[in-house]
Amino acid sequence: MVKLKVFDVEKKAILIDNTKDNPNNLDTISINIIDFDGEVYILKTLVYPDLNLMEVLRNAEFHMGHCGGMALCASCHCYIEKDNIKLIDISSEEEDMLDQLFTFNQTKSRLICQIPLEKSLDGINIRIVKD
Amino acid sequence: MLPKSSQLKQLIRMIKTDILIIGAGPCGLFAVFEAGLLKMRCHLIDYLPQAGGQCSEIYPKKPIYDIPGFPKILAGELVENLMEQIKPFKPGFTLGERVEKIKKSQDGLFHVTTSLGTKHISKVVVIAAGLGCFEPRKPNILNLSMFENKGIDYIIKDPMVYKNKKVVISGGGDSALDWSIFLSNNIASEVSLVHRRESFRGHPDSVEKVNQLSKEGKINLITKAEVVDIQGNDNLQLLKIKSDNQIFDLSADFWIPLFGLSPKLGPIANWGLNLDKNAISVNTLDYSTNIEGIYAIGDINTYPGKLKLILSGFHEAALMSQSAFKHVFPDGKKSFKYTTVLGQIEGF
Ligand SMILES: Cc1cc2nc3c(=O)[nH]c(=O)nc-3n(C[C@H](O)[C@H](O)[C@H](O)COP(=O)(O)OP(=O)(O)OC[C@H]3O[C@@H](n4cnc5c(N)ncnc54)[C@H](O)[C@@H]3O)c2cc1C
Ligand code: FES
Repeated sequence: MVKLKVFDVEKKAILIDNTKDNPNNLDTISINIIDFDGEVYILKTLVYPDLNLMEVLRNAEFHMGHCGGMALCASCHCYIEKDNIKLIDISSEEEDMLDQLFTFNQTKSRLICQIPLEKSLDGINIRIVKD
Repeated sequence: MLPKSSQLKQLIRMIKTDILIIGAGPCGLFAVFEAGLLKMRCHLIDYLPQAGGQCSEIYPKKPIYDIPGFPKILAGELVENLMEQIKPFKPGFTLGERVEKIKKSQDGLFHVTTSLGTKHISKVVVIAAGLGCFEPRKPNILNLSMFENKGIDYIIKDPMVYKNKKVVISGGGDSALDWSIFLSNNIASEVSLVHRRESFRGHPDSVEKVNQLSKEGKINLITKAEVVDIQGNDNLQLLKIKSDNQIFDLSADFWIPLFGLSPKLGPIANWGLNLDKNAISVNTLDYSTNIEGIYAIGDINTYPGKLKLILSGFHEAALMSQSAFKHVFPDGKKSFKYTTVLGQIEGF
């Protein structure tokens, strides 16, 4: 187990490696996640085309994605620490949904179903917010 | 028109039926039809004040493309059609109440109690609870629970409760706008609308109407602001509003925070059912659970290969009804008939 610092939490991280089967030689990235119960995970995933960040986490059995990724349910609301990672801009649909959340944080809140999976997300820090 | 809880207010506090359906989403509604064909009466309970589950609450205006026979249908229309289709079977509704407890008595009957104490007795229980009970997103404010139902409401069931009262609504979406407009029209004595941002994300007509009413002095519009504290004795009396880093008082009989609803598994976890993550494990033969007489259909159930689709829930409703028949009519003999053979649907 690796000790990982995500946001202000430093804890032993559970590794989820979903990269073993890679016949198409896709890029691999690593995502650091704190679940809302405080558990820390390192999720290694292939950069599949046409997937978003919510789908990758849902496939790894994180409980989210009720609306299928339409920015309508906020089950995928996360705080994101960007560092040097440039994220796609917030659309008005995403802003509308975020606006309903009391846990909304001006600088960190995103609905991760609106963030396409890309190589540039490697090393991103995500904290899943309990609705 | 979907039924509103106020119109369907249950005067009788003990409701008896053959099949009690927890959740009035599309799958619960269609179960009424399948059960009705076998002459079983149904009663539905939902925490939402209207039927339709996710289709009504999350995406009524979005088109669905995978309902067989409908190349495209709005989710809200699908619910209206389902309501029309089950009309002959005269289902009962307990709306705006959450099912808290299920107890099975020695005679095999189920006793089901809601959050408001309404009691139901049935031979069969069908859990069609979807993603769980839609619960309001609650503001993160100290003492909130002290004033719930004593001045703080998250869902408006009967607008006349606010007659001649000072009402504060929070939120920036359609429901906050629509209710502000509605209550300012000779119902509440004072309506204030508090919103975190300057702009509203509701329907442009509603936004314009609210701005107009604000100019006329009928709605007290407070933007770039939020409620940060609540005070009162037995009932709510005062809200503290923060705006531009300043805090001011606003006197209020009611505060209605309208920040949408999100589904939570809730009490289902305490009913002794076999759960797999957040879903109820079922036998795919008839979608029965580990408790004899309790079935689970739609998004709430799980089995190998489960697809959370309306289509799957409809199929599950049909098989469940065939199996539930033996509990409702232990000595009865059912014969399978197409609806085309039956001709006109004969209701109750
Ligand atoms: C944005 C979006 C788009 C979708 N698009 C499609 C699509 O294109 N095609 C498709 O097939 N499906 C689609 N779905 C999924 C579809 O809506 C669901 O599969 C369907 O609504 C499930 O129906 P249900 O009756 O099982 O549950 P729900 O619709 O979730 O209804 C369950 C009801 O049970 C109530 N409830 C739960 N617990 C309790 C309790 N303890 N007491 C009282 N009431 C309770 C809830 O309040 C809720 O109203 C979509 C979903 C979303 C959110
Ligand atoms: S999955 Fe529903 S908002 Fe992202």
